Amino acid sequence: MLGKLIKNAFKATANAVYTNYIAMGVIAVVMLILMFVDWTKWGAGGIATGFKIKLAASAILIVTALVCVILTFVSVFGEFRRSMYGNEGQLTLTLPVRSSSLLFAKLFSGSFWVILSYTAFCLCAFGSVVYLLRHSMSVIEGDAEYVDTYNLVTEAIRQIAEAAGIATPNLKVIRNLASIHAVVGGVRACVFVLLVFFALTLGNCRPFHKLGKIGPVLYFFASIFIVHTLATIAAKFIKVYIVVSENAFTFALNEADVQLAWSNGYGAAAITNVYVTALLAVGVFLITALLIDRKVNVTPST
Amino acid sequence: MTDLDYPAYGGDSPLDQPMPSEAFDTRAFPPAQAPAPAAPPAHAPVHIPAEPMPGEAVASEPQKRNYAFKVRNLSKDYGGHKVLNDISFDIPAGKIVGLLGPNGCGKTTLIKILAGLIHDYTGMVLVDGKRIGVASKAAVALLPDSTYFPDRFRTIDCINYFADFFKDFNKVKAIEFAAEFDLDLNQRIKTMSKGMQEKLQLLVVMSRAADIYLLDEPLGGVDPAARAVIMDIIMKNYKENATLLLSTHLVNDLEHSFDHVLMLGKGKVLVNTGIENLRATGKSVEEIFKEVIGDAWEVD
Repeated sequence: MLGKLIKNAFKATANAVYTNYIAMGVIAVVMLILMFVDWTKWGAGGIATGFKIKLAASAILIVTALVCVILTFVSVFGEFRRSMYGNEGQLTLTLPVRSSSLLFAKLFSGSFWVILSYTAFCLCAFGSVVYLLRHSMSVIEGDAEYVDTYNLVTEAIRQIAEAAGIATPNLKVIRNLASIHAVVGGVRACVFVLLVFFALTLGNCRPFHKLGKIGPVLYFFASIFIVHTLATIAAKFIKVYIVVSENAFTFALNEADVQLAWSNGYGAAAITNVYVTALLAVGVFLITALLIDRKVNVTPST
Repeated sequence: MTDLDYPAYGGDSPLDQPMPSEAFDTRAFPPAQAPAPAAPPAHAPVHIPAEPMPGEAVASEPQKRNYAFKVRNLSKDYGGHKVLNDISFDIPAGKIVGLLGPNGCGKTTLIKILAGLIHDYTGMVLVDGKRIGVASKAAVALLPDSTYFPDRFRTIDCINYFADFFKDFNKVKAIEFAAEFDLDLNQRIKTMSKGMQEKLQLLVVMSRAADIYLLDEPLGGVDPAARAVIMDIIMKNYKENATLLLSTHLVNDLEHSFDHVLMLGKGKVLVNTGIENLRATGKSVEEIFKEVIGDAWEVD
């Protein structure tokens, strides 16, 4: 049943978000064309004009990706509310499936789209910044040849490491570190989606529905504040890090090990906060499933 | 004791307490609100059979079931307004039950509670011998009073959706029904009229071989000519020995179909009896309905 629930939840969310992605794709293609046109062929002053156009195109690309993230949030959460507590809830909540399975399917598909949109935004933002940096350097140097991107990025990393007073980690370490941060970002995105689902569910339980449509907004901010505060407090008392070398991930429980790792060209990431957040999220998931099972009312408009 | 062996009466739990006689008197309407069995002390242990896990035998042996619904001390209010006020009743299995009452008397609320869509009630409810949950939902086919399919769905998507989740769903029958109703399998819900959407919901619900059908105002907003067709579809296609709970205020159109009548009014059960008891009074169900509801709505 879980597989069927996930399949149907994916179809539903895909249907809710696909127009966002088509619109974003079209805008992105136009902006990329503007960014990669060689404006120097357009006569005197072409370089300066071209740079302005490329700058504007990059900015529009980033803003479009950001709008896509926001629209994805709205679509995913709207779909959840509609399918669980709107008219469609009369179908969804009479299916012979466990509420935890139902919630998991919604969370899985919702998180997928949220993470996808966020990844697209990060790629657009990072790509645009690198592109503009590279292009501006070539303009400043008066060189028609663009500078090498690889060198540009590694040089930036070297300078950041130097400013921080640590040894410059090599690319393998950076890649491993990036993968850890990607996982942490993914977990945070899932928790974010779950907290919104929790708030929407709570808003449909008595006596919490008295606040109407503003209720879920308040419950969301209250729950995110509680989870964040607890995770922050836990991170103060329990310190857990992952130390990243070229070929291995190891745990460290004190800052001295972390400092040593950085000074040896390794990397490290604090994970207590996300670890505690994930544990709290499990609790929120169970509470939400229980609310769906025992407390929620589906009273759609007829 | 498994829930399949759950006795009709005779146990220790309040759910096992017998309901009062169904003897029907036209003036006194004695069974109206059952002199409810003594409410259990708040801390008294109440034996309710455990809900079977998915995959376990889901009670689909109607001959073993004496009651489709057992309700004890059920109350539900909306913001202080009591819609259902401490009602208790049993509905025998395998009957066509008319759930009658004026607008706002709690018919839809009761159906939603039985279907598992409303949870903030007090009291105890057993559906097909089970507490409201996965197993009871597997046994119940709900036709709500509003449309519930997503706009993006086509007719075939609705059929496939039911086929995915309900083991008792007959896909071939549903496709044949769609052809009979002139519903294009590829037409989207958002392009359908309300009538077409209602037809589609009816066809998927009646393509299930459920133990219990909960039909909330299936004739609401339907013209008189279509009512006969819809009732014909319902009567010809529900599973043999299944229980059919039909809510309506069109008493006259449906009274010939009922085996059993449950009348609600002013938050109470006014009548809960077999149709033969009502007919023994020499009055039609509609006449009795008017008398009972009239009494219930008199100003105290």
